Amino acid sequence: MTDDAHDPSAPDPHESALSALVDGVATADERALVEGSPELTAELAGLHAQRAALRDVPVPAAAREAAIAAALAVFDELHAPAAASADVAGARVFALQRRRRQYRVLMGAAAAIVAVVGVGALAIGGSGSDDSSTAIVADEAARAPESAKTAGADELSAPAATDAPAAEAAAEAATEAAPDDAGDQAPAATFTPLATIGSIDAAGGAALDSIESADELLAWSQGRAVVLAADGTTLACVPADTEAIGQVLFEGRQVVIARDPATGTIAAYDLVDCTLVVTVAP
Amino acid sequence: MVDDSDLVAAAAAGDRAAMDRLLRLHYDRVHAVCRRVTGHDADAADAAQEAMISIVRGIARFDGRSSFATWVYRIATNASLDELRRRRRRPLLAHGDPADGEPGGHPGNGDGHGVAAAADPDAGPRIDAVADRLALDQALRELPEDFRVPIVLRDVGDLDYAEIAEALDIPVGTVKSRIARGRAALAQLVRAGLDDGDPDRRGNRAAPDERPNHAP
Repeated sequence: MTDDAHDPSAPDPHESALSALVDGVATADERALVEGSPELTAELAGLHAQRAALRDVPVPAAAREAAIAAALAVFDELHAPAAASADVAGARVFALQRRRRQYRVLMGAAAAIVAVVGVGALAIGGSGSDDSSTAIVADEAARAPESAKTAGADELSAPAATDAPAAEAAAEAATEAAPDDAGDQAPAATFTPLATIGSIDAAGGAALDSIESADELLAWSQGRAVVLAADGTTLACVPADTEAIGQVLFEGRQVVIARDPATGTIAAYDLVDCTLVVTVAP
Repeated sequence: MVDDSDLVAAAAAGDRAAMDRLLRLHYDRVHAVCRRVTGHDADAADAAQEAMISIVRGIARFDGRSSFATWVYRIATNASLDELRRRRRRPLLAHGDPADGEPGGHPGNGDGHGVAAAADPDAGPRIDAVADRLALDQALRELPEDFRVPIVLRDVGDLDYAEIAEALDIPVGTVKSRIARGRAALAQLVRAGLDDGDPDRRGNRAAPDERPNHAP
């Protein structure tokens, strides 16, 4: 959202006046401009109606309760692991997640096929796809059958250390949050984010490279291949016009690293709220 | 806006009831922001849930430099944009799932009202209302993201210009400009959508804006 390329050079004075009136921040001149024109007055009424329509969004109660239950299950994991089973016994969040789970299983199967084909292609000396938007790095492809198996297993059972339905729901919630949260506070048993990527340790991110300076980050980024999340999507927080190349601990914060393919500029985004932590140009 | 500071402090310290209360206070508008940014019911539900989880994971690190609402809507916006990116990469069949209440093969709004309207052609006012919603959804989808997101954060999230600027990391002047231009463009897109869908409605609707160059 930092690209002003689409910005108009200067807003139309009528548009500015109308918008300022809608927002209640119009100057006296802007108010006079609109009130002196029946056409603009009618347009103002239309913009007020448009704003009201935008705000009119029905909220499905089931989605609300599922979302809050999933979030509280994560909260319980973070703050009161021992009480999780009792507190979230009813936190069944499966319905909301069914579609994405099915998709993940499909992607796992697809990844397995890609791995088999990829190994075969390598064996005969062929080269892989260079399409950075869809490519999976070689070592990730090699792990694909494992990730597919893991994804399938996740659908059926909670981690071995826990067997209560609540823990299962909590694990499910954590799994669904995987690409975006990658929380460094998540217990190892339920940490799945980005588990198939490069140096990231599936046991909780403990093996992430720790980087303390921009120069060190630039050096780390050299030669890194594009990576995707376990479900084949781009990583969370990565702007659409850049490519993810991994995840590290930067000054103690878990960040995702993006590279601008046009300029080579490296940027790190905090995985909790996607704020930009640092950029470094080559 | 409710002052969240006490709840935030309590939730960050591990008070489950405070966390529950915070999530409930903000869910509806988070969902509304997600719905308007993604343009799709199921994606909005997913994005809103992921935003809720991100709030839980990140609240201990919320430092109060911005308002809690600004922080929450930044998370909701990022979750929505992530959802949009996932959708672009998702096989089409994923959006034709009848369990989502979406007619199979209909690229779209997720409200499922198109079928109902077609099956009940005499319900004039109701059809108009549905058409308005469909036109608004379609117009929002056609509006570039750089314009859509500021409008949604202003009109749905109730953030002021400065908060939107902070959430999106763009200057305040750019926020004002994008909202003004985006609102005008959105109005034109809605009118165009309604006229395309039902030419008889042309003239029933105020169409004061015939000036050129409104679309960004």
